[in-house]
Amino acid sequence: MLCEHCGKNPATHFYSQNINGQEQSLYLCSECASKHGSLFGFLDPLSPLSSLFASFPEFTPLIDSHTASAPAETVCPECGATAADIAKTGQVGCARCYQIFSNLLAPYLAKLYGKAVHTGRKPLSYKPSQPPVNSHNSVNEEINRLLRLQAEAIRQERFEDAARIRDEINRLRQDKGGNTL
Amino acid sequence: MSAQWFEHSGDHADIALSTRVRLARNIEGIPFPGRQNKEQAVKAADLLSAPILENKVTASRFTRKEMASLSDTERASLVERHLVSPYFATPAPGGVLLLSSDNGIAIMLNEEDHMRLQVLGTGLCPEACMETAVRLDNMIDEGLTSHGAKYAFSEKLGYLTRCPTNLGTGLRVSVMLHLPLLAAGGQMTALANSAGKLGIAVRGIYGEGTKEHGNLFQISNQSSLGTTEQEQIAKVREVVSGLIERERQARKMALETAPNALEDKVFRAAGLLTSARKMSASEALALLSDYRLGVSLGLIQADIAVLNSLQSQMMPATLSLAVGRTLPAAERDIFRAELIRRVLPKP
Ligand SMILES: [Zn+2]
Ligand SMILES: [Zn+2]
Repeated sequence: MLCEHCGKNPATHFYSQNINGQEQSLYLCSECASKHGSLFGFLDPLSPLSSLFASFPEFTPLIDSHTASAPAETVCPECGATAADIAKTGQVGCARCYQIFSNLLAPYLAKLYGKAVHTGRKPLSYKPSQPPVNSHNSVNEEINRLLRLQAEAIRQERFEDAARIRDEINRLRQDKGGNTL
Repeated sequence: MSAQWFEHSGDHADIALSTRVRLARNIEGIPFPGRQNKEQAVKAADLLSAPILENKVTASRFTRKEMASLSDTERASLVERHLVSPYFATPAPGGVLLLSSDNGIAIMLNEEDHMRLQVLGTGLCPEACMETAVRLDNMIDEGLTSHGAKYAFSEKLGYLTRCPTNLGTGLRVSVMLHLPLLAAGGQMTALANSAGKLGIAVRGIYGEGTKEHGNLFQISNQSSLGTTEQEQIAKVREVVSGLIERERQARKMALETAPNALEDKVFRAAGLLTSARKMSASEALALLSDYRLGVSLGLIQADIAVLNSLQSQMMPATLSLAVGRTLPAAERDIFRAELIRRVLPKP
């Protein structure tokens, strides 16, 4: 089989990835492969495949700045990025960009992840946008979450944190008591 | 010099050379690398390194290296040892590396993201690497909070990253596998395709180049959004275990059907490695692949950890650093051959 990039030399390098059912593969000759850096670079665990695919424009999942409902002149107040910057590089400028350009990014994110939402770890200080203060169950959930954090803190011998979390748990338990009584 | 991370042998260490866990993190309110000015880059690096360097226990274990203050050879050696990315080796503003004394933890600041926290281990050990990564992640998280800063995070998208493909947990788990029999049998393309269907990327060099690159393949998760860290790790472990199992079956079969051919290959490689006076890196990689196979099959008695460390010690820049001066290619091949003869036991 021939190199998919130049179509001239036999392909000796093969890469495949699959993100939520969307398959991509890349067959390259040594010459085109080395364009991305040394041949060793390909095995490099530190360069993500996405950047490899991005270095060959025909495989880059394009962010379409035209279909975006964000006006072309929108500029991120935090980092100065524009819709065109993001579409061109496939990278955002700062955390705020994800809000400012959410319409622009939505179809791209849907293509990458479908309807999936984050289910992994959260920053220790993260508070959900709608704090579950009224519902009894959510308070219990929050207490359970804090108990887990406390156990982790104790295991790691971060006793000051453990004490702070304990105080927070006590506060929630008191609040809960007050609400139900 | 303290003991190095690769001087241990973990689970399946004869086939799984190493495991790496990487977490991508950014700070809210500071533009990502690429859109930040020098001042912001330095601020991000200081905020992220403070928790490690202000804690007595970790401070004694880590060294802070400004990438710009290192020599070209030192930077190239970090790349050869897979401690930093080739991208990070080109110094950018605020490019800082926090490196543990055993070289098993390498934290890149201001690479593609504000922080790329990496933990390395020998053999197949993603859970243990993750445990260490989480401990450091929590420590840095708290340090940020105490300095009035925090990780960029959204409830739906998880940890916010410069490239949307790293959203979610920001986790990439990868395992480096030595699969000479599967490669020789031409099975890797099909196996990589089925791994791909499970959301696992197989990266490697197939066809002509395979042997010269040591029959090494990198297995990693592709998506980090929508599943938990544990699920992502379990999936990589499942695919890796499957590949190891198949490689072992192929080896068993080869030993049963053509033992002489296999033994001949192993001992020829051992003969060359332990007697040659000049050796290029690619020749050494190909021969070390056969030698490693011999050790794994019990044909040669040697410590797998020695092979692991040789793999990076023999690379050009790392070799030059050890000798103490920049070596021209021809001279490098002589030093490489000498190094190999010194550390590898003759069969
Ligand atoms: Zn080509
Ligand atoms: Zn922005």
